[in-house]
This record gives sequence, structure tokens and C-alpha cells, in this order.
Amino acid sequence: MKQILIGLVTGLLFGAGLTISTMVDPQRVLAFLDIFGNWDPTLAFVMGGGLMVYLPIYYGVVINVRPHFSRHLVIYPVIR
Amino acid sequence: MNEIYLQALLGGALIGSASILLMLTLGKIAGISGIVFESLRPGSTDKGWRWSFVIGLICAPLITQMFGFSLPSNIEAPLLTLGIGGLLVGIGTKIGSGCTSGHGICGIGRLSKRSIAATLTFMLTAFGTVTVLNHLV
Repeated sequence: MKQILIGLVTGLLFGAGLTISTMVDPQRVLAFLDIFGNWDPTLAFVMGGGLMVYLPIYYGVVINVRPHFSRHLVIYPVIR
Repeated sequence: MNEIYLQALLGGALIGSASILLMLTLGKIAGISGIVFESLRPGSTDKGWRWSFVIGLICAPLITQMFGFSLPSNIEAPLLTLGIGGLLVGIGTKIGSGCTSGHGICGIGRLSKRSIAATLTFMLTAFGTVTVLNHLV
């Protein structure tokens, strides 16, 4: 039950982020990819904003508080 | 700064928060392609949170539109084109073990070499594809 609630909350947050950052608009994404046309750097700001949150919390909190998660993740890509 | 870039940073920060929250609580990567795949794969053992994540993802615009952020009113592409495109993205992310969210945010956020390589590969391929289609054909 707790897991389902976590899924719902993170899904809502993620979807809100996609909508607010306009990444739900394929034209916006295509404009980022059109480097020799009328280039629109918005997508880079979205990734930047995401990494600004993810990277420091991963290295500052996750690997200290939940080291078994990060250890698990080293193996994870190899078996997949 | 242009307002749209601030909006993009804020949206990105929300995506990053959702992803790190999922890592902190369940130890999972917030990769949309992987979450959807495992939610449908027969024999997958933890379908619950994956389904609720997808439901949250789809319902989120209903909440954000109350604050003036909504989905684009029309997408200028035939349904068939979107379907083929979606299928190719799905096959590609399965072979490449991840998409923009899984590799681009969670992977680069953990400084995973594999994810940095994957992100560079799909970004460069996409730059090339759009350049060819828009300027060379």
C-alpha cells in the first residue's frame, strides 16, 4: 500500500514536471533537436534542473542513508 | 532570464525530485520506459507502484492545468506517425536499457558511464535525424 502511494506521488510530481517544463509538446522537443534551425534550448534547462536536484541528493543523501540501493544499482545494469 | 527557461528549470527540478524520491524510498530508477515495461510484463513481481506511477503521470496535467500549465491542444502529426514513432522509441529504449528519464536524469545523476554514453548516443542520433529531415531532404 505504501509502495502504491509512493508510485502515485512520484508519478504525479514527474508528470507535473513534464507539463510545466513544456516537454509534453513534441514541437518543443523537435525544436531542441533542430540545432541548425531555430534552436530552442529549453530541453537542456529541463535536464539541468533535474540534475541539479538529483545529483547532489544522490551523492549527499542516498549513498549514505541507503547504501544498499546504490550498491544494488552497480549490478543492476549488468544483469539487464 | 526568459520566462520559459525558468519554467523549464522548475519543471526539471520537479522531475529530479520525483526521481530522487523514488530512489530514496524504493531504490528504483525513475525510467518511464522501464516502469511501463515492467508494469505490463507477465511475471513481474512489483507491479503495484509501477501502475500507480503511470496513473499519476497521466493524471498530472489535470492538476497542473488548474495553475495554467496544460497539454498542447493539438499535435501536428498523424496518429499512424505517432504510433510508429512510439513503437521505435519503445524498441530503442528496451535495447538501450533506458530513455531520457532513466539514463538522462537518474543515470547521469549517478554519473553512470553507461548512461552518459547512452544519452550522448540518442541525443546525437536525434540531432542528426532532425538535421537531415529538416535541412537536407
